[in-house]
Amino acid sequence: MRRMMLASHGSLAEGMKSAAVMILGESCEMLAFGLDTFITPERICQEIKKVMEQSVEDEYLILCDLKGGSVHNCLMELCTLPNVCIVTGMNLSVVLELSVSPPTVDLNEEIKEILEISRDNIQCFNKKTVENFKEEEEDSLW
Amino acid sequence: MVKILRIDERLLHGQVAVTWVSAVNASSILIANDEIMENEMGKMALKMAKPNGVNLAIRSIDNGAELLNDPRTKDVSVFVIVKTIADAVRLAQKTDCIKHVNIGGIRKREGGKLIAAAVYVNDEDIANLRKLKTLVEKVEFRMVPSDSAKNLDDVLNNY
Repeated sequence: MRRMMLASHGSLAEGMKSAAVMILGESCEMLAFGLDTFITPERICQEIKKVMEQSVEDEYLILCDLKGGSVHNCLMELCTLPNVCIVTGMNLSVVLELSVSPPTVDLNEEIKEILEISRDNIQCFNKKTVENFKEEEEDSLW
Repeated sequence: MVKILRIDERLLHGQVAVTWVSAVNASSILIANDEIMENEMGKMALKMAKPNGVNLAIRSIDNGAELLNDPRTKDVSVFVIVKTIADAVRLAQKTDCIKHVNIGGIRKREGGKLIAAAVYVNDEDIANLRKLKTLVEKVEFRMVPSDSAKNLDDVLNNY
């Protein structure tokens, strides 16, 4: 089984989980560890290890808010385990995509694709883009 | 042909664009909604949510039905989206090409009761669901394709 864990500064992880549950429903299972609640990165790491010890067979996807942040730095040691993958720059798009994508055999290939989609989710909209977009309007089924 | 009609309060949004359009292998999307026709900015936002390589048409319910009944539609696989159960009934009354209905998201309103993930219905919706049942072959409740579907009879029996 694949399990997702979110780790962050402040309460971003818990808030991210709350947003994902709002969109995907209660059935989406993920654990959230923010520094507001868990105080130190080491404590978050310990909590995650505890979860992982309970079922060593599972795959663990750990999403961190900031690459090179204290939480990410501390969790990096988990990357030495074969069943762990850490994704940084957590945003709602990547959390949703990872939650809804059906598990495939090649997790790394899958994550690569999902990160591309989620990167494309970060865009700027302003007067100019809106006007350009209007010009290329086309509307048909065929 | 119509692959599936989805009822979703949010019409076309990321989750639908990402999961359903690819799951049903649609080449075109029809959004049938009367209010959106008056809302230029809203229409544009929907167009921006469209996945690449897929055609999109935004129409009123009446014009949407016309488009579905056009013989050229037989040759493309269409994913239809409406906002409410009442709109689904209206559309299904005007065309017989809708066989399979998926209900994915209806926001909580006055008298609304949660009957499936993210789907709140009131008494009026239930009456419309019964109508819809006579118009199409299958009605299911499911947010994303990877979820398991709840069927209409179970939902009606438990309401």
